[in-house]
Amino acid sequence: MQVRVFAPPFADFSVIDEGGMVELSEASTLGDLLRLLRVPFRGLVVRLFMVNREGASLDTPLHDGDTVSFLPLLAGG
Amino acid sequence: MKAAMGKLLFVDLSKGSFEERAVPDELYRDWLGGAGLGVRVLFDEIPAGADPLGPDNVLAFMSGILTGTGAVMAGRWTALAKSPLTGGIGDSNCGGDLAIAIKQCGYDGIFFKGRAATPRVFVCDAEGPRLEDGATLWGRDALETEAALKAAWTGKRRPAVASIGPAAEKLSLISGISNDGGRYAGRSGLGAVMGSKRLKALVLAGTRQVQAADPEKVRALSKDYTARVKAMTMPAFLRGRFLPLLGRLMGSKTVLPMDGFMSAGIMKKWGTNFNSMTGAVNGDTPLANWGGSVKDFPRRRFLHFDPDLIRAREVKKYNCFSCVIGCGAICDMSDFAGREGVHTHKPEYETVTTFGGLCLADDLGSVFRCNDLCNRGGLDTISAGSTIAFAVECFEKGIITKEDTGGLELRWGDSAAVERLLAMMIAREGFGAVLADGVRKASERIGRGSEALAVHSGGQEPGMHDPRADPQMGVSYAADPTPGRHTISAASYYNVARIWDFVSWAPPVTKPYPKSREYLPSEEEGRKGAAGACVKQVLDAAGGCLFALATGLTNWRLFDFLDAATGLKRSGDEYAEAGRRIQTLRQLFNLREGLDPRQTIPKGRLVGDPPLVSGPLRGVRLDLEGLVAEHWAALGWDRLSGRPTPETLGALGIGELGAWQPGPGVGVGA
Repeated sequence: MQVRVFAPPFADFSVIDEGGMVELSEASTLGDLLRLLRVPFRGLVVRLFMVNREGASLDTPLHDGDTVSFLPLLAGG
Repeated sequence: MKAAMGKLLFVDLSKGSFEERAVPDELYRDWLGGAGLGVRVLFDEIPAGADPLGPDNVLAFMSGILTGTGAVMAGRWTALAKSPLTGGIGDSNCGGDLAIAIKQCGYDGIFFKGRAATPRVFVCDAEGPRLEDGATLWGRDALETEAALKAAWTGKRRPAVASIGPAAEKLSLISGISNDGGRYAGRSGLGAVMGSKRLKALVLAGTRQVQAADPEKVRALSKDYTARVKAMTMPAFLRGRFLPLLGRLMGSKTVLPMDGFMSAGIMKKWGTNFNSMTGAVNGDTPLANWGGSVKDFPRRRFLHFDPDLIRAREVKKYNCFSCVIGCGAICDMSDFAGREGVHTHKPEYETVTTFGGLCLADDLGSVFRCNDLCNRGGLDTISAGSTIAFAVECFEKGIITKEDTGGLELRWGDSAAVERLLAMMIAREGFGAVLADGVRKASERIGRGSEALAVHSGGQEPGMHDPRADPQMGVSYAADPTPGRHTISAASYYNVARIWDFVSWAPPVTKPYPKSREYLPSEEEGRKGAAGACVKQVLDAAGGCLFALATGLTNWRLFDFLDAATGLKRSGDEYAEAGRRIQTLRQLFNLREGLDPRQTIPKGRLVGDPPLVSGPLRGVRLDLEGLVAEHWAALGWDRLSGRPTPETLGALGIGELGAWQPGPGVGVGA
């Protein structure tokens, strides 16, 4: 399955394809994805991730077409 | 065309007369509405060389084509005229409740020509348009004026009111137009245009309905977006004081694709003030009149503007018309004002920064008071705070002394002096009169080398986002026909808006890339900025909110909304082409006024000359001229002169509008 990933700067981007997608095996969880992205301190950092814009944990199951987002901060005002 | 009211109202203030004009469908097709239709009409109505503060200038209040159709996040109105601040096309858009009120009066826009002999208030309700005496309101502040007009209103329907304060009456070139208790169309000095016409206020209380071509589709799009925004909330543990850490991460050397929809949660929680925590550490926030860094304004000081401290003052959330995010709020500032029951619109990030870090001041109470002073007096907070920061630096460097300031000592971080000076600017008293027209005029009046400290683009003070951190923000400051604007295009906006999903020539940002690439003039960077600027023009024609665009076009489906509301069936490329037409006409307006686009490209410290000596932007220099050249080329304008080429004018179907241009020189840097 494929999920869209908006990754943090400390991730390993080599697993993200040109379209911003990551290939995962079926029944993968958010924890599996963060491991694949080599995100450090996953138990803590997971709190800054959302799956389909909802709070998630390392056990949250992922499904084909899901969006996993790291909190972005853009300029505005 | 559906979604439009089909009519414009022209008010001649000199004669006291009114004229309704029908709008042909082809005008809507080419210019959509809002700021697009407004600039097309003003191009014909304002004679070349008109005095911006004279009777020949025309002031437009435009409502967006999407406004009132049932589309969410589409409640912004735009004021337009020839700007007395820049000398070119001036526009400024604003939320509040005026946009729908214009349409409920039966018009897509209301245009004011001439100059009244005595102060007037324009009123439009079920009985039609009329002008009433405004003499008793002249001299009163913008909020008092609105309150007085609403209190005296006897009609059934609560009116929407736009008004000006004393600074605009005194023709301050940095004055704006207030609406709904202190929401401001602040930029471009359009308050002064309104003041020059002796038009104190508009009171709108119409009852017309807006018809969408496919109301079911509009409703479905709105319902879907609303449900997702409602579900989007930031984790409760995420506090304002954690934001500097995130700001440092996002300001790293790699640009990451970002999920813009998450910004809806940030805006719901804090509004724009989240950036007060992140901007100082990643370099986005200018400090010490653009000459300092976080070393000069460290964490212990910028934490005074922790957005949680501002949030704690909220007594009511505030949503503009049709907004489902609600970044605004009404705040209690009783303790800051020294009396009970004083409420105000929450100051925006821009305001907090101009009266805070830009002056190296960290007094939150002072920021609230300055915000309230500006809202009441009628000054644009960005321009006013920027001008004060300029004056403080002039004083610190000995360019001006107490003899110039009337005994006022101006020092970095002295909030009391900032407030005093601001009040003097509004009243145009003493040294305040020197500063009342913004930094360019102030530096011309002061001289003595102060010009080097006057940060502006084409006369307008830039927004509080440092182009040395986001070079495409610098391109907007330099190359937008209303220069100095922070709401046009930027790499960060482009990243989240996902324009490339709809516009074929917009480069995708789906993979991380080195931040250094954004500093190099390239065809790709040019296309990113141009695509952002074109879509922004469509947004302003639609009456849409920039913060909706920032959640991503795949979420807030602007082009689908436009199709459903108007009945047009267009691709993203076709809408972007309409945006390019609007942007090109804005440029033609400036060229016809004799402005040289090359002259609005800022020099000096805004481009890192000299570079900062500390902080995250230490040593950064911008090749803004190179970046602007790529931007112009991507728009189909001559890369050296900024003049739209004859081929571009022909392709956009506006060749006749550029016919006044000198033939042989067109497009070759004449």
